[in-house]
Amino acid sequence: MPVETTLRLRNDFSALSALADATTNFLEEHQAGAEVVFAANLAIEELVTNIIKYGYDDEAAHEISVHLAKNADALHIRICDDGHEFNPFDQPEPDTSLPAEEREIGGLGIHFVRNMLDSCDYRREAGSNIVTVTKKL
Amino acid sequence: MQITEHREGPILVIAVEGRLDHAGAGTFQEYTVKHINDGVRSMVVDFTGTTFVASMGIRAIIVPSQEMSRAGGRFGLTGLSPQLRQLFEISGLMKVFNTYPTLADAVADGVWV
Repeated sequence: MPVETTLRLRNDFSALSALADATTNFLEEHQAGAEVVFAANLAIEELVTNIIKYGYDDEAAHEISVHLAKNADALHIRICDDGHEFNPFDQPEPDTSLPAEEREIGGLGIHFVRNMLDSCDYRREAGSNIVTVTKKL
Repeated sequence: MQITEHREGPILVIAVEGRLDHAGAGTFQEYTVKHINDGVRSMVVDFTGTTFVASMGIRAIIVPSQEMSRAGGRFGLTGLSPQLRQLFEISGLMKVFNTYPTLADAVADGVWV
């Protein structure tokens, strides 16, 4: 049976742990395996951290929404924010062949999301950034 | 996230329970680097109880690994879940870190000082 939920948080790092707990609880309640729970947590943590860090041009409070939809074949995660236009998947890949100490750490999170999830999409719609990632079950 | 430590012969074992995420990364990095600055030269981080690691957590593992190597000591990792191992592989770090299947394997390695 398809199941879904929408989680909302403010653009504050202190809201991340409640978001992680809610995500994990929802997925475990609906029998998602460890690999899926890990991938979902990774995508949400990396993408939402980026939004909070770089997404806004003011100091105001903003709402970020995370929609989880699980069916028999896949988990779909959709993250929406009203920050400035930014496509996280349109950034250069980090050079992982360099020695650890010479690396730029910045791009690593998105690199993980690209590799651990099965599809990653971005669109800009009505003043919002909408990122959708999918993990096959 | 909770950090505990115990000794296994010459090795200081640091066990990480829970999430090594944005919130836990700074704490973990400070904790491990402080021990290295205080003279610890044989350290193994045990991830058996770690449920999640994000990119900030990976960065927080790289820092003490580098500090230990500069100090002439040895830094090992054990208890990697398949997902954590995958993150290390994706980031090209498996060849940088000394990893052991179990803590017993780490202890049995003859390299500790």
